[in-house]
This record gives sequence, C-alpha cells and structure tokens, in this order.
Amino acid sequence: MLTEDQRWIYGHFNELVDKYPGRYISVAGGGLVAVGDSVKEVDDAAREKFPSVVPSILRVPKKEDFECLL
Amino acid sequence: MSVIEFAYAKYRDMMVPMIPIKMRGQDRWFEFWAFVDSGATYSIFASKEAEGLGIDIRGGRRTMVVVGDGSYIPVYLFNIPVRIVEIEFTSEIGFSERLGVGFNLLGRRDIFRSFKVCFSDKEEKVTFQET
Repeated sequence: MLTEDQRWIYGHFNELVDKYPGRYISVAGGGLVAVGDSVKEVDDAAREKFPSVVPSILRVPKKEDFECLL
Repeated sequence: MSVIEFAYAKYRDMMVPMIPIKMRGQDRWFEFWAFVDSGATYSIFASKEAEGLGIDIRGGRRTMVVVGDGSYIPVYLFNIPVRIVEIEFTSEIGFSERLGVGFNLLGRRDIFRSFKVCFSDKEEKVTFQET
C-alpha cells in the first residue's frame, strides 16, 4: 500500500540522515528530486518535474535527534 | 476495516515509527513525515510545514505545550483535512516555531480516535487499524 516514493524514503533513511541532516528533501518519481531549506523550495522542484504527483517531503532529522529520544 | 502497516524507519541501530501523512493546503495536498508519538496529546509540526501549506500560524488557536525539558512552547492549532494512506479525516494539527526536535510529532488527538495504533518493536513496524 505504500507508494514507490515512500518506500524509497524508508530504504534510504540512513543515507538521508548522514547526508542531509536538518534539511528538507522531496522525493517523487521513485527517487530524490530536491534538497533545500523550505517546504516550498523542495515541493516546487518536485512538482515541476512530476506535475501529477504529490511529492513526499521529509524534514531530515539530525543524528542528535535520535540520541535525544526519550 | 483497513489495516495499514508501516515499517519502522532505521538509522543505524535506532528504529523510529515514522509515517507519511498528507495534509490539505490552500490549493493542493502535501505529504509530510511524522514520528508517531503515543505520549503526545497533540500532533505538532514545524512552522515551515505550515508555510508550505499556505497557513499563517498566528491565525490558529494558541496553546502552550510542555516539552521534554519541562519548558513550554507555543503551539498554534488548526483543523486540517489529512490522509493516512487513503483514509481521509479532519485532525487538529499544531504548528510551532519552537519545535526543538528534528521530527514532526504525530500525537493522539484525532489520530488515535480514527485508528487503533499498535507498535511492535519485535516486528519493527507500527500498525494503523481504522476504527
């Protein structure tokens, strides 16, 4: 029931936290489309490339966010 | 009743129950990710998510929420159409400029009324069963 884009995020979560901590990413069309500092920036980039899809947008956690989990 | 399974997201040896949730903005749907937090009353997203949705957070109902270090942060609440997979309902969602953690939080309000939520660390998944 998950989309290809959602599965991509689960499958690349480690890599995303290591490479893009604290940033926004958008995933569409089965892969990473944009990295930026706002929802609008990454959403616009993904919709321009894939106009018919709702991009999946992740605010990538930082390593320390995992250390601070209660 | 629909049952939806989400694998835990994994970072090194840590597993976190992160799931995608769609929210209706002014003219279109957006999909964000959030940490399912059964200990949180409210769902709280970063204020930048509100900007993307086209929401001015100051127009929401203001409340103060206590966070892990005992301090209080202002949260602005809105009733927003949301979708978890394709199940659509309206949920009270909060936004804050002071959300200090790097995860958006999906709390119990409206979400846990719409779904029975079951965590399984053994199976490394969180299950949402429509109620």
